[in-house]
Amino acid sequence: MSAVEVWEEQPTKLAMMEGQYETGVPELSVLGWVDEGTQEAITLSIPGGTSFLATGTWDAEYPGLNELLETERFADVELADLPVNAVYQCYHIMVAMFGLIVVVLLLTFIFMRKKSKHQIQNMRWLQRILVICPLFPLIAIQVGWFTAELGRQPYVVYPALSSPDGVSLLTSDGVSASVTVAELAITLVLFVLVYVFLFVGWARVIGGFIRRGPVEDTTAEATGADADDGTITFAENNAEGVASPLGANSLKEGGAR
Amino acid sequence: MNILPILWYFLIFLLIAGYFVLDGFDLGIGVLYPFICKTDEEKHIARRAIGPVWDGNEVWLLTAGGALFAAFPDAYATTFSGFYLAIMLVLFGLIVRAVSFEFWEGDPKWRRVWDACFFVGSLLPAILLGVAVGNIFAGVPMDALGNYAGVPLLGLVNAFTLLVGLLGLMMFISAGASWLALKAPVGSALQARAQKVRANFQLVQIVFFIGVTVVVLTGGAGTNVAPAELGAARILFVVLVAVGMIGSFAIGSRGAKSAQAGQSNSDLVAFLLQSLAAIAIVFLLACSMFPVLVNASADSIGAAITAASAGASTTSLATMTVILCIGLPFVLVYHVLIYRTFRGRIATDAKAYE
Repeated sequence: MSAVEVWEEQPTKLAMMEGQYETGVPELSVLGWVDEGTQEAITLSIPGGTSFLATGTWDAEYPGLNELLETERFADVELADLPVNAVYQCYHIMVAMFGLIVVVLLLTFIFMRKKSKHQIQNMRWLQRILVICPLFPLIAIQVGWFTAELGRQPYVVYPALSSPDGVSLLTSDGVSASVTVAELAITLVLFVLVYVFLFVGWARVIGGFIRRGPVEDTTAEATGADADDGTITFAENNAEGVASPLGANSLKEGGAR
Repeated sequence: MNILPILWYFLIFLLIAGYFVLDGFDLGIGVLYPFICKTDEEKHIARRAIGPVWDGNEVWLLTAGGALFAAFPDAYATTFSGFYLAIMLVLFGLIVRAVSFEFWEGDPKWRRVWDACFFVGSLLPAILLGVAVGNIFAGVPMDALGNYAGVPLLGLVNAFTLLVGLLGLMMFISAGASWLALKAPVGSALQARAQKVRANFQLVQIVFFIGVTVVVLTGGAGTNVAPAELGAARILFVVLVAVGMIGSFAIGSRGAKSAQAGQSNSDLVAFLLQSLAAIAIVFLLACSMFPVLVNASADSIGAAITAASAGASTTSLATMTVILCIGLPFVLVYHVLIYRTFRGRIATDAKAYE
């Protein structure tokens, strides 16, 4: 779905996502590096993959960046305005995160079902992966946004095919006239400070949960006055309870704070 | 002028009124919180009093901002860029405030930290929103394109805008005390304290209301020429503000003792009348400014931004009207549901919904 839309609406974004300078059949690369100077992309890729995702065929041609910028639609854009490698990397980190999620899911299902000593309860390394795996979707979301926003550059309103003719706005033309750079810098610093502070607060609360470990026999309390909030907490505790040996482990990290 | 910009002019103020009356009392409780609650138990009650409703109340601020963006993009651009630092302070306040609710229970050693966040996060919006209103009313300097041309943040603070900010703060606090008196366990020390604070701050808010009115009428707040046709409406809303403020004070004070004994619902009546004053004062503002959305100060190059000059296309406004007709009933229904579900006073022994 998304591939189809980007293919049709935002050609420079799609070309950047695959580091495609010259017109051709877009491949689907797994990882690589785009040298913006020499316009070379060193990639490990599936030929025609992106073409397949967007069109259902393996051999659809797609204009490369050089050809796109020669069209009237992108007359305002210079090649130097396009953060090609950054978009490429963000997009591929997102895809890699998706791959990791699938791998973790498969491993977990396999070792939950197995009736041998290779069960998840006995596998410290898999438990450790499960502890950090919530980061994968978070990273994927963030770099996905980076792909969308960097890929849109140098426009803040992209001259999409479906929008009325002439509707577009360069990011440099969209900057507020009354907000100064200093103001932006101040708020950016404040954002960092506030979120670091909130992270510390969050780590303390979560650390406390982990240190207390799974709650034992809470059914009596759960049916009390506070069933609404209570059940959620217990559900979380049970989920963590699967990885209960970790409680002791995380304690050390907690103590280091 | 087309009917749609006029409709949306007043609808924006309706959304602001909704925010002022609903989030008003929970911001007010946040400001009072460190002073009125003597024990952790009482803090618990104060947070529980607004726990189920505060986030729903904040929706009105988002809606007001979003509707301003869609209906009057020029006014949105001028205010949100011009008041950038102030708005970011409100935002940071609301962020730490929201988190303080969630983390207070989970981290006993940091309760003082989260208490402080709750207080500061409530105080910043409570005072800055009034300062912002003072600015759009008295006028800001703008360039020919309507960009704010004054000093960032500090340029927004002067005697008049500060006065309006304090009036707003006093009304937030009065509303907060009214809500707390209504929700505190019957006969508790907290209820008696809230009633006392309510009465005191209601007197102070009346003084500030008179002060702002006098400054405006004597021309101390720039030139605002609202049409004479709205004169009757302005008088109506002044009367409603007065009835709300004085009535709430009188009924709340007279019935304080019997409410503590659980024999009267004067705390409820006092809260409703205080809310009436909050709604009426926003519409008084609307009727005193119409059709201006952002006034221009004397030294401004650009002209005041009005409903006519800042309006989006008729198509946009018509679409928004349809969305509003569908969306608003839902919002009202869930507000009714949640206030019904959590009606009545808080029992001292029950555990918290935060």
